[in-house]
Amino acid sequence: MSDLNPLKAPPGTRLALMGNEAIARGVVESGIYVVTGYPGTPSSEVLMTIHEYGRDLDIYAEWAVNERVAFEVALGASLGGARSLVTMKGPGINVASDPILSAAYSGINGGLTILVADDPGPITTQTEQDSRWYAKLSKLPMLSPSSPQEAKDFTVISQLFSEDIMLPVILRTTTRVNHAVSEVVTGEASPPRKYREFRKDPPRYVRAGMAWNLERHKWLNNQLKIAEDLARKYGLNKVLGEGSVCVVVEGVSYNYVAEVLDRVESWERKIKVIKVDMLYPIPRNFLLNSLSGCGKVLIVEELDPYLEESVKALLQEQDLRVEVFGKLNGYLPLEGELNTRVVSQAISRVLGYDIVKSSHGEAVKGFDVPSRPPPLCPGCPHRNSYIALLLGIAKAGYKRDEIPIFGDIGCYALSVNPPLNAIWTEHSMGASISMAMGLKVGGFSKPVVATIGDSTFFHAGLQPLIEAVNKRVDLLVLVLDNSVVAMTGHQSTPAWEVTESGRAAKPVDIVELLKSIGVDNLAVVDPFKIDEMISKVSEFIKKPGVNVIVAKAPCALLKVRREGVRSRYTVLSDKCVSCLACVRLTGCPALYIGDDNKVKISLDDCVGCGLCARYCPYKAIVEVKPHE
Amino acid sequence: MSEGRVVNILISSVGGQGGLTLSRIIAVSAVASGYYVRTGETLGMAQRFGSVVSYVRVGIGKKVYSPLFDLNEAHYIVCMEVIECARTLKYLRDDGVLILDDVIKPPTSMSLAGKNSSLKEQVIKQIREVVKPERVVVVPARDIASGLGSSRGANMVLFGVLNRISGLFDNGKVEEAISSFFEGRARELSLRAYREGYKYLDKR
Repeated sequence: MSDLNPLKAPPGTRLALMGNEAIARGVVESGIYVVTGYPGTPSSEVLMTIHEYGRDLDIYAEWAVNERVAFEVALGASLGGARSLVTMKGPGINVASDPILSAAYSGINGGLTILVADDPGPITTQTEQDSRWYAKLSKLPMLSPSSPQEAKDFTVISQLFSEDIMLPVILRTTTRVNHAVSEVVTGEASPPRKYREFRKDPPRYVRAGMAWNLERHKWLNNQLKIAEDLARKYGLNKVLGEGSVCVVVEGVSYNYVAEVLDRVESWERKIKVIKVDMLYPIPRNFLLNSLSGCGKVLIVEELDPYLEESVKALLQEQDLRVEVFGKLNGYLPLEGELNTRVVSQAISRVLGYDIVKSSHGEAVKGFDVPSRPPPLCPGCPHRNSYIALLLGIAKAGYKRDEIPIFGDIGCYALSVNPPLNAIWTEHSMGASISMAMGLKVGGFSKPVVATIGDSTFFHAGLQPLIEAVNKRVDLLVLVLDNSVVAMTGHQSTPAWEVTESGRAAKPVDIVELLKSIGVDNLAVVDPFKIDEMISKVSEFIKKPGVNVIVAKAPCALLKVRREGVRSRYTVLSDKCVSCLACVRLTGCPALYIGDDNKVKISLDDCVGCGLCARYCPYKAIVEVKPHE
Repeated sequence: MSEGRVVNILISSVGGQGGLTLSRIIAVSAVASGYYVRTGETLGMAQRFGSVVSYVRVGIGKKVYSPLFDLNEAHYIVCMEVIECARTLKYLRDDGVLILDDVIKPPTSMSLAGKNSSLKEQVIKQIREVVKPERVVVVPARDIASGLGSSRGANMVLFGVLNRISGLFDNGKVEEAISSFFEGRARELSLRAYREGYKYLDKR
């Protein structure tokens, strides 16, 4: 039903959209022509939605090799007058920050929106980074939507705002906005705004002239002066209710405040809610006007006391005696995401009485059940690679715990869980190789191993490898090439021939890249030929130099989607002696122990990789062809 | 305080079972019915075979703000797997209803500890001890769906049962939502699974 296509539904349609789908709709409504980014939860679905529903739309929608490149592509498009959007998760803006800070001095021509999706909780991210500070650091305007509807509306506003102020605008979201599904009413589509002109203007675009840079810094500070007027022009920042007890709130936290107040009879006459939609520059006049008459102010925000510090500074500067409550005096936590209960308790503490009476009876008492950390999928080639690595280390005569294995970002980080217990570190994109090198140059005498996926290698692994080769460090690197960005939902890598949008791409060959960098020994192996891979690991780990093994096999999910499941495995109960060797070696989630204590294989989940059969000492696991 | 009511539904499943699809189709059904809705869930490939919890909040004549709700606030919990069900029981209101597919997917941690799948009966027994028996509805959703052609339809069987018990949506709106979400054979299977689920309690 094209009426329900999030990108093509006519204006005024009420759709159930995820926040990221709503942002994709915002792309269509604001006439954005260039959309790029690097996959990262919870931001990935913006581009994925355009790929799924808008392949025939006239929009450049492509993943880039990393966030920095993505931003620079968007910036170049914008300098030529095209409207652009770049998407990334919180840590992605760390990668993109270098050009973002310079772009604030050059300014933009076509609207440029930087979507950065933070992850309070954290639910899927390495840190609870609060990217709101990037607005302050880069001096770029930042908008903060609270719902899927606002996510769409603010995307459109961010483009107009950006062109008015001639600066990139940061749209900052959090998981509970990006991944929440809610009703969204669509607006008018707008034709894509493409290249117009690009005029040579070195003082503006060349950051090599220090006098120019000083001038541009003044220009930037001056531009920010119109931000608050623009916020008013576009209907940002709102006050609801009245009273001397005030709640200052932004983003997703607004929902928890609204939820609490919705349970209170005529709250509008007791409490004033000050909803801040523009987080940078802080809307001074709006805040001073709305804070007048407030005796007590509670600041409700997730992660750092960003708004709290700003409001406090403003009150102090104006010499206003107002009691401020928030994170700095322990009314709200500095870590984790907020919820209705925590916000309700904070408001109650400020009021001095319980704002909401606790509702219905006692909660059901739970009981303990086994935990379920996410494992590698059945048939995952990474499982084979890590088993081959561990067995290869043993075959070379080393103990398992004396050879550090540096991990990187991707599904293969799940190898940290039992039974593999493989990686020792996982920090940031590409860090496996450089950190392994660091341990060696720091004086560690035994071999070290770095393991990195193909997309992570393209993203930030190349430079560390160049460094290691150039400095002649002894290092074994496993490139786990499953030919896809698997963890974030199967996005393309630079090795693809056709991208999700249908664009014919020129595939970049990892093996040729490795050769040209000059690694000392190089082998390409199939991790499903596990004995060969074990031998190669034990051979390479003892050789001096930078030795690279590319373990090449497609992601199991991708393979099943393309080819279906050709065979499965089953356990012959009369032969199974319950030794559990299969379970303890592979940790495959398709294996379980049945009521009779014999191992069983879940037919729903087995994809027929045969690894468990390979390691069954009693030959009790056999292949079953579809028609048997 | 606005009029109307908000119905909280929690869906607990193992990544890959279809819990997120169920949450999405409930949201689409809600919007098709003219209701408000807000969901909160954990997405991402790495959740496969992990614990997945979806919060779905349907506002009938009332806007919904928070994508989450608290312990003791679920009017309904839909469980696609018994261990995950036990993990999320604490969200059930004392007058809430638990709809459970009696399927166990033993987590790797359990197999590694040498525990066998007979834990299923024990967990179901414990669930019945802490939730009033009349508030637990056990539905062999996976088996029903398999009988129709694919175990992947278990989520729609459970949706049928949920809607039969809750009366939240007109069947026409639900079928509209399912039809908009799936294509081809999956659409037919999903519609049939939903209808079977809807009839299940009457037949029993």
